[in-house]
Amino acid sequence: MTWIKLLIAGLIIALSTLLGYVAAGRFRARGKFFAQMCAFNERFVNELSYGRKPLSEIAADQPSGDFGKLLSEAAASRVPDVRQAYLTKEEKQDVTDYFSLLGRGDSYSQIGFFTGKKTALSEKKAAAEKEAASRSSLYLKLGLLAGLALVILIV
Amino acid sequence: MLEFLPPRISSAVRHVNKNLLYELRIRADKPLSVNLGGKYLFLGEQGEASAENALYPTLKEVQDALFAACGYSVYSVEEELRRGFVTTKAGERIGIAGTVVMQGTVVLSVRDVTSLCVRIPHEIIGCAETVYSACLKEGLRSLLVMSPPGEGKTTVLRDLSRLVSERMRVNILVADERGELSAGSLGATADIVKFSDKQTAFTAGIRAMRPDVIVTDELLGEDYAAVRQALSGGVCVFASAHLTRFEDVPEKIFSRYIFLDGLGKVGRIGKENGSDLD
Repeated sequence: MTWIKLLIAGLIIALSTLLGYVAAGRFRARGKFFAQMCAFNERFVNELSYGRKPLSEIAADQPSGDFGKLLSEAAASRVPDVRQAYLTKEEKQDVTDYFSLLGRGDSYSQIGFFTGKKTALSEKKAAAEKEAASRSSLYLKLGLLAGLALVILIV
Repeated sequence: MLEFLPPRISSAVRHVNKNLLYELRIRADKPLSVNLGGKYLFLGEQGEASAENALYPTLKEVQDALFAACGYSVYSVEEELRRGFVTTKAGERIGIAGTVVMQGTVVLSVRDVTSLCVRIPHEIIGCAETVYSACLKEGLRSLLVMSPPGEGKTTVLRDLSRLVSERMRVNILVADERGELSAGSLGATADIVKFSDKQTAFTAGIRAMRPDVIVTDELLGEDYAAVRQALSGGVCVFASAHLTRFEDVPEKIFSRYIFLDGLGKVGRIGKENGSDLD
């Protein structure tokens, strides 16, 4: 019987830790979103100065993820509908504004606008990644502790 | 083909025979018109219509169509836009009319675009057979294809390139300044330089690609220096120009002058001095 108790205790702890990991998912997704947006912005400014590839070609090389999907929509036809739940209302508006200006001007004006976005995006990326790291660690620990507490209560 | 058109216009165009569609004129708040087999008609939601029943594109539709034709990336075609046109991936050439923004003598941009002239490329296999037989059977020589706009000069040049490539296996450099020539088969031995002015394409192309023939369209007065340079270097040139009379050719440096008469039809062929070829 002891081994069954140990197994159940282990499963409870594993499950609660997993729940903690899942709960932190939105912070990781947010970090990834801004990291991709920042990387794209850097690349786009370079493209504007040199290759001037159309958005569809840039989007085709974009790594998969929520930002990549929005970029593909923008490259295909329209300003995408930004619905990501992990973004705040203001962030959604900022991202929508970003896409609404993407491609809609000559290289001179686009370089000016998107170079100006670099600093803000870098700060956003750093903050989102920092938050993702700390929240992930916190939620994992909370999950683990919750599992342990549950096991102690049951036993 | 014509994938950049807004839904209403796209739906109207669906009612016409695409094989006969040469041109589409989209003007804000004016009836949509098409050149179908050489004849201009108005188009309504169900096809041919009178001016009253025609489709009237809105200013937003005109601008949406242009933005879509730019691949939603205006910066990638800004040089072309400054020259008054944009060419889509499928090879449709879209001329634009709007407010030209100048800085001194340099065109900065064209804004408030109100009219689009969409020219649809056609590939007519064999349409240059007459020219080939009359002018090139005994070997390569330089040719100038002449006609008013919209009579198939580009189509003839494209087919000529394909024929020369297939039958002579010579290296062809296509200097495609407007991206129209390369919208079709130019042959297996053709190298394409797109969207470059003729002087740059000719000079860089001759150095880099060592062509036997250069094919280019719509020669203007300032382009003849590049052609002369190529000819003196032993490279033949097949070109076209918006001209109808031999006397109006700025420099008589070609071996043959082909005068088109109607859509892609060869009217007459002139020799170096303009007299008819026997």
